Amino acid sequence: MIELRHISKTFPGVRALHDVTLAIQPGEVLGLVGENGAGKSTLIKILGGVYEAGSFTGDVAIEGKTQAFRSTLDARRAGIAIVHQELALVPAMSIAENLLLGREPAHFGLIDQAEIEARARALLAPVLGAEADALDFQAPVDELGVGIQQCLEIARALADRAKVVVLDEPTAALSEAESEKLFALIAERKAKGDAFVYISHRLEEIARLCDRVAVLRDGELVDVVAPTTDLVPLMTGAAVHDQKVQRQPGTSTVLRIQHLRVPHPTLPGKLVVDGLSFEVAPGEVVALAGAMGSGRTATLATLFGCAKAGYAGDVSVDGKAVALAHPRAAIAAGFAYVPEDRKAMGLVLGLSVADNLALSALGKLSKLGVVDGASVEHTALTRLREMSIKAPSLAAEVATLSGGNQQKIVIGKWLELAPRVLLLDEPTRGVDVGAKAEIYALVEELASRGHAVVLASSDLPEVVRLADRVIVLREGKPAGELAGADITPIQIMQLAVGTAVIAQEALREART
Amino acid sequence: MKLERSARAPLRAGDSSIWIMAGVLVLLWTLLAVLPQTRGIFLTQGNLATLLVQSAVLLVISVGMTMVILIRGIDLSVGAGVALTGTVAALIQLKCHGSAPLAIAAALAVGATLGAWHGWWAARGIPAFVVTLAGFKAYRGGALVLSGAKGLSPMSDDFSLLARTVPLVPTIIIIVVALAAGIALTLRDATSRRRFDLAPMTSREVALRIGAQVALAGVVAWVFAERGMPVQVLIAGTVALWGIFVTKRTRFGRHLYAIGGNPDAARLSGIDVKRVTIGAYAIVGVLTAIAGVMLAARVNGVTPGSQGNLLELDAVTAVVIGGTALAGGRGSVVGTVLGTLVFATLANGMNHLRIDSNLQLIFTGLVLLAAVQISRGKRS
Repeated sequence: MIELRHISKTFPGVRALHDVTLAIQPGEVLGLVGENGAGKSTLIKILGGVYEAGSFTGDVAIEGKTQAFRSTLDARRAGIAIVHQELALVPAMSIAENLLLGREPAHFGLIDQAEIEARARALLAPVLGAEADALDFQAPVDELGVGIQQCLEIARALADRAKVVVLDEPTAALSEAESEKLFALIAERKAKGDAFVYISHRLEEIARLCDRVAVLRDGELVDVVAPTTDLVPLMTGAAVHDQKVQRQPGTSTVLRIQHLRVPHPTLPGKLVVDGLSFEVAPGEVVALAGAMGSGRTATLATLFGCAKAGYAGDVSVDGKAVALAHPRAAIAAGFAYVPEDRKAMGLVLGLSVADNLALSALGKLSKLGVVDGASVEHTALTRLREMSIKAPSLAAEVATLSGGNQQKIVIGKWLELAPRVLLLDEPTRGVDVGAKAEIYALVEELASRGHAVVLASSDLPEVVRLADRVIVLREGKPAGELAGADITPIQIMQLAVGTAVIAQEALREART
Repeated sequence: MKLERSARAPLRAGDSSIWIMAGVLVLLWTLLAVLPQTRGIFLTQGNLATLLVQSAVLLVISVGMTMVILIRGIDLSVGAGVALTGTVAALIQLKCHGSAPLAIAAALAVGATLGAWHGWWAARGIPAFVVTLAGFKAYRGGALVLSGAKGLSPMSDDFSLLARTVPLVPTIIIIVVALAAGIALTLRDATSRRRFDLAPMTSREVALRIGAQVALAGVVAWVFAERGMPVQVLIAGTVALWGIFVTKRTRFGRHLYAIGGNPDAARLSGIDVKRVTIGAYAIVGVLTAIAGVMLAARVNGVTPGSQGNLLELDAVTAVVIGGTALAGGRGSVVGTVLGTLVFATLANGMNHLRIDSNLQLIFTGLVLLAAVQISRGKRS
């Protein structure tokens, strides 16, 4: 039996997990569900030794003995294998080498390619069946489809004969046939007494595979329930309808998107956005919701000219067709972008508050290429006052500011350019409650000034609070649209996980 | 389609740039042989032997440089390291009257220590560029301080053996032994596939590999059939074969590719990234010392202020021409050997063509860009 006892972990400014206690029994499949950011990944990273002992409080115990994992290797030796959602393969190395990476059979450091291939074939056969025989095991893995790559990961985890195998969204990249093989394999291993932790957004898979389901919300374990339970209300919690501001969006159209299709940056033939069309009026907030990887971020990045592999479809701003080849073109067309990772993409952390606030508007704030210091200072001061950004001075490095104030700067740096469309990706990720409310008020203020706003967010209460309309995406395709009173966390979640019809009927029955 | 590829497995996609590079080399040599300006000198035994001797030091360094570039690193200190290790060896000979083995051992110890030192910093996340840039400055300074900024020469007679030539009979024996080892390894590859019940290597492929080895041995034997093989070439050849073996066939070597290809995946797979990193830089350090000793022997002394100048950049050039990606994870020592030969052939050939040495620099730069473009094009 593997136990997690009273696990708590905080990141600077964020409580990721709080007092989670959970046991995994031999021979069971334990489902783990929750919204994005509920703490699922953090929990399995603790279980798998990615966060080493001492960086969290509480214990991981195996058969009653407390473990102190210092690395992923320790966890693997103790019998915990993890299939991560992001593929951890080495692209240029062969299938055989990847399957035995880190555990190559070697004699005095010398490896035998034939032995590696033989062992690799033995590992992959149960996962892929006859398909494995046809594979060229010496081919580099980047020539393979993502589904087969995922199967390699699974085979690698199963190779250890682990006590517990953690599968993080294993079917996200698998075809139906491949998924079925995986399910059969899980059942077979389960019968032999192996335990699994199964993480998925696909609730029908959870219902089918799992013996028990643990639900996480905001870093806390809400409950461990039977898989037949209606999980969505447990995952989203009580709907938080804080004072929603009623706006009167204009009747004209600022942004019009028709049949947007965006190819996957590295996998040929796969689309991250597939056939998305919508319009945004002045003063309107349209939210894109959906699970991670559903195409929210990809849509915003494409609109800002960041799509690596280009895009197809028509985009127009104020009735004028625009080509979004690169961010400069997008800015010229009237877009402003607040990316999801502000430290990596939104700010120059080592520069001052004033420099960051002036960054997007330097062209406007300079003459003949010489930056006008006074204009920069004036602009920055204006932003500081109107957005109530708390900074010790204009010269302070933005790295020293709190998350909320940093986020205001990422938004504020665009305002000098008076953009037509604001693209906001996770605008309140990692900011405290007070700053969150201020940023909501700011977005509402900007909308009421006539900016069109496209919001991408995994924070459902945030979507409910801000959005006039919600477009729910599932695997790149629009799964449905909600407006007005229909915008509730439960409705969004149901569209996002694809159990809408059944769940809605159940809800209706419950009401009558 | 996959099955078809499987049938001829060892001719890997990654190897195709090597065939291109080998083709470029053959083309260059043919061109230089037939162009009237070279007056038929280029493809003579004497000229090819000279070409190989002149590229020996660079080759030794480049083999090590390949390993650190494979893990997304670089070593800019090798030129200065050649001066410092050469100075150490020369001082032991001139000031302490030490024997050649002692002088060489001391140089190797210094090289290994400095390399491990670079690796230690790089493994802690300090950019290798900066760590070894510090070495680039410091070791040149160290060589000047130790020598009192004076040239050191001549090396003693036993040390100068490293600049001599192996007599003809041992030369032939060495070549035959190397060829036998290569054939044995090929046959072992073929049989070990059978041992694990895998699709066997085709006899065509076994024949192709052995044929290539025999041809290579034949060319080498012909080049040195007149006067025997220079010791410098023997050392460089041994280092190159060792480098190919280590990167292709040892666990350490495969870990280099894994770390360069995806460091997170390597770490999550339980590879000791720090240890491999330190190991790779230590290898470069030792090879730098070997190169330092070789150069000191060849020029019969050490000029601490200029010995090995720009070697680091020449080595990076050779490695990159040979198809190894500066971004790490892709490339090979075989490619580096070919890259070094192309680099040396250009220099030698342009001299025969009486191209002005300043123009040669421009031309070499263009070749570097073209080579990178070719290997990029192959990948996408």
